[in-house]
Amino acid sequence: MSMHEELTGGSSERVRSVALSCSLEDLTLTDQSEEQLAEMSCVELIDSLLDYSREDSEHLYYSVALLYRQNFTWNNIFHQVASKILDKNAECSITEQLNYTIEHSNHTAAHPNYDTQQSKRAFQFLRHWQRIIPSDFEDEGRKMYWQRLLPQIGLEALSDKSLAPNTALPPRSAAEIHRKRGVMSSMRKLFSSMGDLKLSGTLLDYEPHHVALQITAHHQHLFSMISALEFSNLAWTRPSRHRTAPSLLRLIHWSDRLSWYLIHSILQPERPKQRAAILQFCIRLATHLLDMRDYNGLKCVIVAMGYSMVGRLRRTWRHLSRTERTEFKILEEIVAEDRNWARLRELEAEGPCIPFLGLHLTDLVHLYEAIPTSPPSGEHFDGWKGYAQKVKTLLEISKRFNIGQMSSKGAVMLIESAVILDEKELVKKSFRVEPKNSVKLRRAFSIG
Amino acid sequence: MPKIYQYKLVLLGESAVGKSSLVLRFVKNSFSDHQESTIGVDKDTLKFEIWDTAGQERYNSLAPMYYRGAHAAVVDSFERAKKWVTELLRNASPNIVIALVGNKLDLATHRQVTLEEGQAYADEANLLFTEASARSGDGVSEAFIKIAKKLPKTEQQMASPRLAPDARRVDLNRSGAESYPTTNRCC
Repeated sequence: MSMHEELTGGSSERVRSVALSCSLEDLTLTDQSEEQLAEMSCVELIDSLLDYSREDSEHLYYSVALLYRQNFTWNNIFHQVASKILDKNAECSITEQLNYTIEHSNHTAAHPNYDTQQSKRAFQFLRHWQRIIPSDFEDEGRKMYWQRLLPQIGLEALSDKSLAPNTALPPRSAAEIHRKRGVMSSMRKLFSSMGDLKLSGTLLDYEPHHVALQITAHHQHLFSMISALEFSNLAWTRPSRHRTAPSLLRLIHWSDRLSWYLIHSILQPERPKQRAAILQFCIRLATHLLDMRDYNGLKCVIVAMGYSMVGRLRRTWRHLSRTERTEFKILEEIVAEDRNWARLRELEAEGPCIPFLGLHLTDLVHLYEAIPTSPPSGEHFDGWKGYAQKVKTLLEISKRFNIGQMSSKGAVMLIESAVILDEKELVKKSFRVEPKNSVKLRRAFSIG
Repeated sequence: MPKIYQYKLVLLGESAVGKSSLVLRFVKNSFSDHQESTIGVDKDTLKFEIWDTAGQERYNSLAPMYYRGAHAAVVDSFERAKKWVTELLRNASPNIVIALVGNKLDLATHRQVTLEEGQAYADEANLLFTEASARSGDGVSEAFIKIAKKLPKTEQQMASPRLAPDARRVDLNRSGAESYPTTNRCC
């Protein structure tokens, strides 16, 4: 079996292990679509990197750092790496872990709360990165980033040689280089074949039911990453939110992305009937999400369909049957904000589900604001108790929810990797596909 | 005979600028007896349905949904006001009354925008401009009264008689199992 077949024929696990077994330093991806795929693969690679408990060879860090460096903007790299590392160790902050690693690097005693193996690897990863691409750590702005990430150990510790493992990379034989070249070209082929498969695809290639399952499983995964600490002191609204509430922000970012992706998809086709097909898909998707009790997903879909640039497409909505419009109306009312989200609150209270996070974040802000600031807030026990209780309930209903693991996540990857026009462009697009004068400015039916 | 009018009012602004405390101050202080966000103007009563989206600022896809159908908007941060105003004019109803409220008046020493600057921008963009402090309570109800005076009083805004008095009250600890009184949708 050739390397290419081995890569393409195998499961994603296989791809990972093959990719991990070799250095990817020669890989240069120039095409934009390849870049996105590479980004997805890198996310997987980082995943594997942190998962592989037995694999400990240094050049993996080197490879991944280099691959990231070649293909992505700096902020992206930081974000991805930091969130990956943090996701794996959601319970404690990276600083604590790294401090612990440094303090105990010469000891073998295991601390019950820290995965030292994991921390060590994360630390080595950063150190390697710094050694291979020092410029990432020199620029003033970037220095700040790292220092904020590693406030106590700082950059000195990163470059401290006494802490560094054997820094020399293993010498390479000609055969090894040759083998790697082979893998490189195989990887490239794999990326491009994935490109054909994914980037030309649309959601319509999937069954609404499957997309709903994948989205729900993804939400379940994202919710499982959130720790109670991320809610403390309204962490997600503070300037330090990227450090203190990464998983919450990830969920918010994903929810936004899902809505924007759907708006973008609806506006793409030139003919009203084709656009209506996507609306129909969205309605079916929303119905399945409701059945699966994924209210976060449901809200995202309904928000997308209710957006002014979608709602104004009268000729498109006209292609929907009366039943479909009624269905949409009902779904919209379920997640409507009026009467303080009464209907949605009732549904969420019925049992484990994926709650709509935004509603609960607002509740938390209101509870927080209602706690008096004088006398000192520690004395307002009831207020804090209410706040804590709210967080507890929210985490309980989401963590008790279980839809199982999805083996396939093609639709989620499609949504995460797609290039989406920005809001202004989408408004323009909406007016281009259905100009203002072509139809009366009356809405097809009242939305919202 | 005095009439009751009803309006939807949204609060916009960056996180932690004090949107929620402004409302809390307004609702609690001015109307502590019956806890309704109503204002009497020229014998008529105006009822505000205040939509506070605090905590959801990071969702950039949600904001337009909240200000759809709004009659008034309170923009609470000077730096971002321009962005919000453009968005409001594009997405909300054309007759919307927009008020720019400079909050945290009590922190005068940390003042970033002078009264004149604020007023100049507000005049240019045809906004109401007031300053308030949610902490001390200064200027809070004045801000809402200013908005109330500028809102058009048409038949459409007449409050539905079916509206139960406490239907609009927010109870954050209320579990979903209790049923809420049924009212008409606002928009």
